[in-house]
Amino acid sequence: MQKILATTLAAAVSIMLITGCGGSGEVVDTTTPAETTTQEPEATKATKPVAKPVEETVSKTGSSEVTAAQKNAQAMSAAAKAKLSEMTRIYFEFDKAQITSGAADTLKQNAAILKAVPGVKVIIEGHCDERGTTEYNLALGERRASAVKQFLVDTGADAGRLTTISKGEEEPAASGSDEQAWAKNRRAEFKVAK
Amino acid sequence: MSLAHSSLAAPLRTALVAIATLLLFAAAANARIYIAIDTPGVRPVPVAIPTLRVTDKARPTYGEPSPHLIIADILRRNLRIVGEFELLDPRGYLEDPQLVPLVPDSDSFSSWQTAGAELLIKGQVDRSGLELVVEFHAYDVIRREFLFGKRYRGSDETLGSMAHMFANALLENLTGEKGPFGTEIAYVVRVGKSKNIASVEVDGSNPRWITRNPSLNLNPIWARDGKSIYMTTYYGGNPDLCRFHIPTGKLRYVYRDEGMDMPGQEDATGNEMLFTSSIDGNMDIYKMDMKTRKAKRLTTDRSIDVSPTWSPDSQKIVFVSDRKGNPHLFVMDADGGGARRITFSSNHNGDPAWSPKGGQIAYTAMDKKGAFQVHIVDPEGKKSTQVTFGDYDTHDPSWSPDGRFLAVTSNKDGKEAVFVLRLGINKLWRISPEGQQANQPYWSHGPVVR
Repeated sequence: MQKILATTLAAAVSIMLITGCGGSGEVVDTTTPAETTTQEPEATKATKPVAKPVEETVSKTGSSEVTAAQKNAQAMSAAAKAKLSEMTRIYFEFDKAQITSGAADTLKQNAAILKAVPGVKVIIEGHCDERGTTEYNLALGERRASAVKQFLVDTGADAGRLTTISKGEEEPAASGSDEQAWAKNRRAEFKVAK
Repeated sequence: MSLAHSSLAAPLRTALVAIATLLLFAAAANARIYIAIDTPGVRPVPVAIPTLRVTDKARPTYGEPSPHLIIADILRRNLRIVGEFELLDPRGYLEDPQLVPLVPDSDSFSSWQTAGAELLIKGQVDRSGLELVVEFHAYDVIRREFLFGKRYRGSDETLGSMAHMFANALLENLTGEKGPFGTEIAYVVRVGKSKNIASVEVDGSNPRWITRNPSLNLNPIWARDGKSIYMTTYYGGNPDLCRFHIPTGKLRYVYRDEGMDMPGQEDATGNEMLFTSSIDGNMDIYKMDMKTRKAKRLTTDRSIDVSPTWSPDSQKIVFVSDRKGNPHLFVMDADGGGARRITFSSNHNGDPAWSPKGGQIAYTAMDKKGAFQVHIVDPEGKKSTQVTFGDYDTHDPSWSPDGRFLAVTSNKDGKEAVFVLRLGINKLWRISPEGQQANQPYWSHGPVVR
């Protein structure tokens, strides 16, 4: 706040307040930066060019602090990749992360594929349909991915090869706002870690 | 009349402020035009905002932008969305502002009365060196009375700010509560598979990008300094909590782990911030000391606990939890104790936003037809009121600093877009540009610093 005030002073731009009765329009100089807090708090803002229509924000999110995902240490053969791509996605009920009996059968097959291709790491992605709030769905996707991971680990998969990520409702598999689309979007997918 | 105020002695300045304050109060007390703040739109005041006069010194040469036209246009666009005013069509104005004095005479008042105006905003643009000097007067047309005036000094770049300040001053004068103009609303835009954060002014002016990267960037929350936005970014491959600094364009991680991390708000002092993380196995709410970067866990349930929002005094936190089976709103103490459920009707509730005045919490609830609607509930959960209706979804409420508006997401026109909702008249104005798929609005605390 002190800094803002100092900047304001430096700008030496002032706002004058005109007031009066009966249409006289008497002009009274009232404002200095130190006094604006009591008189006209918003007036101080005129002193800073907060609106710069021509200014473009330079957005370099690609700064060096942000590194890309670490490469999978294990080099893998094309055959292994092809095998892992056979891991089938599973589906969930609305607002649920429980593994249905149908999904359990699929996951057992997926676990067998994982076992057949040792060493390669797999990412489990949790997804939601569009209903529900963004943040809740990000949490629900996380819960779904974790439930799948836990099931695979219980089936004998190596937990160290499995990571989870939630995509919430952000990457739908099917577009549309009906139960048919929603059912396809409440899912967990399996991706080979890069 | 201009006084070189920089040469005034401090006591004199103080005295002038005191006098001006008294005159201002006197003017407000006399004013017949007074609008109760909680009843907008009951009878909107017909207002005329003619183009401002321009002095010879400020008259633009051919091809230059015309500040007197621009600033009137900004002011009209601001006041149009407020609800307290009915903006009279400038085509029906009878007088040419360049041909009449700034202060209206009785013929002029008659002319404005004939045009249907009860409130008249006049103004003048002058240039003094590099400064642009803009003066506004507000008149009660029926009583033929000067209500108040303001003069702003700035530049062509600050025309918007000057119009916003006057719009705020006008609202303060007529309702006792200043307006939200000059603030911005951050929101999320889908571009292909990526989502980036953008920002737009209250009336939909000047939409601009904040982040531009090929990843998902979600959950924008303004920092209190007006310079930074907290968000969840997938830029590093994982959803991590980061802070994006607008003046430098730099992104810094605030909290990273293998799971999901989402920002909450800073508290009133800016010393602590809320966030959610799955670090302890499921989504829980944490509080971080911004100096030491140490996090304290506030919820320990095995349920999903997300979307924490401070009360204005930072004594309470409202959040979403499915600990009772379905997602509901709960209010807990700042240390995580004493959680109490405050929503009971819908079985899907979320997006809580505590009003800046403290007495209300806006949130989203799914109705019986499966559509999402915005509701407002008191912090004790005694009474909930639905404020949006329709077959479409309206959600993600975020309060304006003055508590008049909610920024919301709605798909009323087809695809999702960001709107401002004027409470009281419950009218929606789209503010995200046409064609953008936009959601998750978050209203800034004050002007954004770039």
